[in-house]
Amino acid sequence: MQTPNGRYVCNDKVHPAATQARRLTATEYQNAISDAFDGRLTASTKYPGSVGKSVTGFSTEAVFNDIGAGGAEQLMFAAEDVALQVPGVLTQMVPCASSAPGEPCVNTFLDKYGTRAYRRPLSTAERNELLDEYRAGVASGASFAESMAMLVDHLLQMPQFLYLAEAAAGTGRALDGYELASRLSFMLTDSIPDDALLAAAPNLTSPATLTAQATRLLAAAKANTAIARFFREWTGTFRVSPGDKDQTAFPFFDAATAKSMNDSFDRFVVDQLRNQGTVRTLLRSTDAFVDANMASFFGVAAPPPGQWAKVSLDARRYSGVVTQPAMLASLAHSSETSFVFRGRFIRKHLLCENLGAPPADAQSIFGSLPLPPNPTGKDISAAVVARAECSGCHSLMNPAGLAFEQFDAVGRYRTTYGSGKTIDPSGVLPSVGGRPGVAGRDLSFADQTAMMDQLASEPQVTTCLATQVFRFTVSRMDTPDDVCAIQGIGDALTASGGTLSQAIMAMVSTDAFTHRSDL
Amino acid sequence: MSQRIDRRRFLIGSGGSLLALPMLEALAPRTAFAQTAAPPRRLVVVFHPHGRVVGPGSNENWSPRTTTGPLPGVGTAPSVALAALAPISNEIVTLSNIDNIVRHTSGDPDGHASASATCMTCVVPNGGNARGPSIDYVAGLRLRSSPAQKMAIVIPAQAAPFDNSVTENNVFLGANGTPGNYQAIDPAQLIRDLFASVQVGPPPPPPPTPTLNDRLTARRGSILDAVAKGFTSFRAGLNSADRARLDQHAQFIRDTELRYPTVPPTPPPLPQSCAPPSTGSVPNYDWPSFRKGEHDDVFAQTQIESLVQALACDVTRTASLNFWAAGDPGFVTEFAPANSPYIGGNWHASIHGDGSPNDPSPASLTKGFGFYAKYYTRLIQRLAAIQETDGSRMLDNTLVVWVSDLGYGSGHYCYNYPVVLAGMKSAFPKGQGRHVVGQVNSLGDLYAQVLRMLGGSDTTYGSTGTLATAGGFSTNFLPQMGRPGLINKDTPLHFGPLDL
Repeated sequence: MQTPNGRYVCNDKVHPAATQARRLTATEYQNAISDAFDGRLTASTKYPGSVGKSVTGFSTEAVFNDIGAGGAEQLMFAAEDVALQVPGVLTQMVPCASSAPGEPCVNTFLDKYGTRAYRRPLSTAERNELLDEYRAGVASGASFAESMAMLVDHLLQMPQFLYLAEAAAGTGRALDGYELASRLSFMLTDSIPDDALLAAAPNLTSPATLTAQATRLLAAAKANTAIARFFREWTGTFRVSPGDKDQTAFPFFDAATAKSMNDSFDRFVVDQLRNQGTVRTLLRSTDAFVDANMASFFGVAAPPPGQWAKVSLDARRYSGVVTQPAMLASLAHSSETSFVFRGRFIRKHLLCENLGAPPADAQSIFGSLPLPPNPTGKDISAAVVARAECSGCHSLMNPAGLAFEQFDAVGRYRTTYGSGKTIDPSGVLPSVGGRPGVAGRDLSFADQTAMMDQLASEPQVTTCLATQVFRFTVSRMDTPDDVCAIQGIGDALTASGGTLSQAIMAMVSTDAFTHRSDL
Repeated sequence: MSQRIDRRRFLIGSGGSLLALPMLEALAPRTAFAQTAAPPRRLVVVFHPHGRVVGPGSNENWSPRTTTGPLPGVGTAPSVALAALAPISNEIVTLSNIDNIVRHTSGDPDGHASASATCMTCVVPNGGNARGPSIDYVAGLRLRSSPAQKMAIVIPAQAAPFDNSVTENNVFLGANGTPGNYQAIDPAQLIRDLFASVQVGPPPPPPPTPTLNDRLTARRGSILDAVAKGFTSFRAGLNSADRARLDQHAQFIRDTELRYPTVPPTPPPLPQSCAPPSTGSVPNYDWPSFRKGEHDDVFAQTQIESLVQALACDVTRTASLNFWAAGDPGFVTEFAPANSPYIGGNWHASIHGDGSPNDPSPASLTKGFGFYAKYYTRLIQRLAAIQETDGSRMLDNTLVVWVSDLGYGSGHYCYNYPVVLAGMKSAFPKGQGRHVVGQVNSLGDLYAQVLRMLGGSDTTYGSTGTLATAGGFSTNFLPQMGRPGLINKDTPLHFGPLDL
């Protein structure tokens, strides 16, 4: 329930969330450098990306972003690339660089840019460390601008910049204002706090101030990248490119089309969150955003060249985010669809069910399945489910995935396979809505629109969305200790009729956001 | 700033042991030798054989005082034996109560071998054979600006040929007790060897101005070191899991750092006083009389000048002056022509037998010893006369340590070594022009302090622990120690800092 001051609670105890220090993702690094230096410096592509596989699907997981053995060197190269840009723009950054170069000017630089990079005022020791780098530059005969570049080189390799790390909390403590500012900005903008948020940081422990800043940030255009990232990573929608698809089967799928498809997805999910979209509209809307490429893709009228338009697609075919071509193309193979990928999304990420890992010899088993000539998806699924070691998960996943067989590997609608066989999208999705003591029920559907229509009203989906928002925010899987926060987000969603933005705002108002504990 | 560079060099120079260090130790800041564009720090070691020569104990004439206190002013003899130091008495600190403790681990019956093997190594010897490097070598490794620079050179200060005695071959030592870096005894050859690469004349054209990319690349090792230190301080407030994450990152930085050797800072411009001696200005060593000591005064001055110029021209940063003639001939130049008491006998034999050991000031021994003091003074004055590029005296950046192999040579005693320090005024918090009679300290304490004065953080030098734990305990020299109750199996090899 929500208290009068906006805090979501489930009892009289404080429920902090355990969090871990984590390195900035490549996206956050790029945004942080651009924002810290007013867009005058550009991040290097040498910044080391993530390693391994994210458990939640979200790119901010701590382990996912640990550097490897070569990472320190890559970070150094990346910092140097940025530092090399400094002399060219230094006078724009600090006019005193031309009028009065010297340590007072360095301090002016640190007051503004150092504070932004470290997301809080610098301590005396931190300031001196950076000043030392500047002084070493001067002592080596470097010019003022070159010495400042050395300082920036140093700054961009420091943990205060590279890591989101909060002081030890033991069993739990409230975050201070600057810690909250960083949490909020990275959650909602994939970047460092802006100046207004830093200015408000000392008062962010006030729920009203925190909510006001969250509202401001969520309304800002710069939140679009974080909003899109949430939906992309939740749905497993990556930035598709021509190389992902068989160019013989899909010769039209060039770079321009792929970019349009990606942008179309982002525009759809941002529109959903910004314009009072709900769980239902997210899953059932017929909206699509088209430019010339996507208009051609969908077979609708094109907007003027270079422009985008919001159109309504055929409700008998299209159903919300799950029929966005970028998502369908992501959850498919190069030339063929994947009812497994698509069905796994429904069960694992829309219903938040735990599925076991496939057996080690899954591919071998698949290769040995007895299949008829030109098998349909259902033929293949039947053969898979017939295998006892496969049926446990595939009997749950496959019906959901087969419902999307009317969308090919790049997300185009179709009614037949290449063999000429008709696609049957009907099915039964088993065991939905079960919980301890309550058996799940089977959902029968004629096609994916009918299936999504039932799922859009399913409480398990609402709870799962709340869970995904929680995972996105704390960058890890949820545990039984997190049930209170997830319940609070779910309550906010239900109370608002499933309004998506309310899930974000509710998350910010939970103890899990304002407090932390150690793992 | 400079410590970053030096710590890396220190670690890499320690046999690449960085990776084996526990994380916290690997990341902890350490103090090491400075290496800046300012005038470099340098070390000169002066050695003479047979200790205080006269004595033992209170029957000696070396000590300026019996308690800690100021030396007489400039122009007044600090003591009978050190009368020649009168012109520099304000530049020196004389020490009493410095003992060679580690020598008591040796069962070697020879009176000199174990003493010479330990007097500058402080490492438990193998009988009379040294097993460690001498202090000049240890400091030299850290002081030199690059491997191309000459390392810990040892310059003979007397013209007598090398006769392979233990006071010659067992004092200045390299790694594991290997021979030190002895230079040619022929003064002309020494000059040719030392200054072959020194260019005197118009300065070379300046190197092209480095680009920012050059500068960033050159500073990679240093910046990585600074960043790793930043991780160390940042991790302090985090919980254990987060600390482990940052430690892992920091370790990768350290691993990377080792792949980027620090480019030595641009060597400081040579002092204007860098003036390599001319081979034409030194006497011909092939004169037969030279090797008989008849020109030791000319020889010593020539060698001192080569040593001073080797430092001034940055040929090396560690040089030693070795008065190595422990036997004969001895001090021909100190006595009226042809009547040196040490021509017929020799210096070693005379110390053992010239008059009674209880005679506090046998005139000939004192006069002979004055030879060392005279040229120590000459060395200090020459170092003081060289002006560095920053206006300081080269003496102010050079620590000069005068030691011997024994405390009192007459009985092979290894207590109360005669030690005179000079130079590097800033490293003496209590000033110079003092005599210090502190608690008993070991030579290991002295050399650890020397390393600290040069910028290190060493608290011990050589072997550590107690006599028993370091290498065993021998009573061979116990009755002669003059330290009743001090020496036993549990005697530590280090006692702590000196009162400087």
